[in-house]
Amino acid sequence: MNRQTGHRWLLLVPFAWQAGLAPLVNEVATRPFGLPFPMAWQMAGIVLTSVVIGVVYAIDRRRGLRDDEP
Amino acid sequence: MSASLPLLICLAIVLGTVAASLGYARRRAALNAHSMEEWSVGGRRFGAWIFWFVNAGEIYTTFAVLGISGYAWAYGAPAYLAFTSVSLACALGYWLVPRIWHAGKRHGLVTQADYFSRRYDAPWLGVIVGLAGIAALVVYVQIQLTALTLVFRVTLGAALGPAQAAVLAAAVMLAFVYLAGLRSAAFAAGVKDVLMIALVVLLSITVAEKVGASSMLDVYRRVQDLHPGIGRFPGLQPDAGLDNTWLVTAALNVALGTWIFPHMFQLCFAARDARTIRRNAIWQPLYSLSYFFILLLGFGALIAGTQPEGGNPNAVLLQFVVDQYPPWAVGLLAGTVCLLALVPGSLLLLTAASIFGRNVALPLKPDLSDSAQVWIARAAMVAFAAVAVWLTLTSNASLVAIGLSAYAAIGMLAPGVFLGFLWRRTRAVGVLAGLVAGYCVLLLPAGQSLAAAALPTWDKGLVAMGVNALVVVAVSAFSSAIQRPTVSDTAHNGT
Repeated sequence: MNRQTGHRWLLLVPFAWQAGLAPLVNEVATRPFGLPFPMAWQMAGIVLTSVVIGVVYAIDRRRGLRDDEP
Repeated sequence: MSASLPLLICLAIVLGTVAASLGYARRRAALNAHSMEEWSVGGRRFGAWIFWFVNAGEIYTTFAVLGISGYAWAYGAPAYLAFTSVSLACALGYWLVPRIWHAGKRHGLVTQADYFSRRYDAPWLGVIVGLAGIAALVVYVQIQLTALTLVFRVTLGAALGPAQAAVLAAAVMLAFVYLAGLRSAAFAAGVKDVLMIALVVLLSITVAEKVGASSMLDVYRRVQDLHPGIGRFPGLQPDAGLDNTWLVTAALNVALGTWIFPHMFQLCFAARDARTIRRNAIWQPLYSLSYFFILLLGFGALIAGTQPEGGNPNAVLLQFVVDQYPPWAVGLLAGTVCLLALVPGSLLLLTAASIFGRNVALPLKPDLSDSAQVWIARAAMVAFAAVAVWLTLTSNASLVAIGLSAYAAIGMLAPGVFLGFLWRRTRAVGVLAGLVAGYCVLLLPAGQSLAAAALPTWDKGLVAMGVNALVVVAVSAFSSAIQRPTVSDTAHNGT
């Protein structure tokens, strides 16, 4: 129960990327692959979210989180 | 006659899936027939694959396919909400869902209202939460009925009036529910996902040619050249108030509300272990990349000049396929959309009815016999479907707008769940006060205009949720300051 869980704050990274930075990237006019930049940004955010959750899960496992623990 | 081919294909898809689901459910449930736990939480034995499919079935609904394509067609960039909200819900779910699962396993919970009455030692709160959850579920059923109504009018012809189509849609959904429980919904969700993927691939690889573009990405290029500003906020209709602030607040509200829907909450209980849940959270966001194709179809329809009946954005995808594709493709789309609406819709009605029987009727009249309880749950389901029909007929909002109303409604229960896990001093009376305050902001004209004046383009659900949470904290802090610590403070620590 006293296991370190500080790495779980990484789960806020997707919020910073997809919500926090959304107003800023709205002003970018570049069109990567012809896509509107804000859309490409959100799609990149989805991939980033999967990576972040995967990393958090890997750290959780290394720290010995059991299958029946919340 | 060409008009009957889509109908035949649509019927074949729906009936074939129902028959196969029933066979599957019978085989799986043979050892554990008819226990309440089997029927509503799948016996708490859902492994990674089946859990993933049921989850996907909950996220990729008519809201996604018809709603988001219609939003892309009507507004442009605001359709990105689909990209933003799913992955944020998953990041949050990684933390939240194992906690819900753990509480469910530890205390043998079946419904969300069970969680509230157990966590707050207050069966009366369970009754209120049960009713609040049912209200949000009924709004969610409205989305599915709106979609089914559109499909029936496309396949059966305009001779079918909107009212008849909506009643027929509700009848089909009830029939689907009565035929089986959650296990068969899981199978049907799998069929629906496979069909959905096949259909999206088919439409996406042909859409460029249909609208005179050279590739999928060229569709995106052309739509931006034709409609400058479509790809950035506030989109095609700046007066609609769908700006950056709207995106951020609506996405947060959807993310916070996703797991609070009673059927999602209950689904958390159905997982075999927390590992299943966490691994699912890793892969689930990637599924939402497929919205690329849904937006593509909406933009394709815009370039093609698709004009649905009455300018209804919900009907854009159907109209586009009717205009541009052969009848069999219309039938395939119609059948798939029927499953997209029926699978989650049946689960929603089932959940609403079980909450009503277990958390509303039983506490109010504890001497109910088992058969009376089942009878009440079934009658309640018909009543909820009738309310959803009424909502469907009185609203002409877009599916996305109806969806956001459903999230606003369920968001009223979010502070009670999150604070319940985060802050052990949260009290039942605080949760009740928060609910009342939140509903005032959401539903009273004075509350609505105050919120709209203070935070104009904010998602109204998030504003109401914020007020709700502040009141929960204030009243709980006050109440625990004047009361001596109770047993429940220690008993529920860590659940």
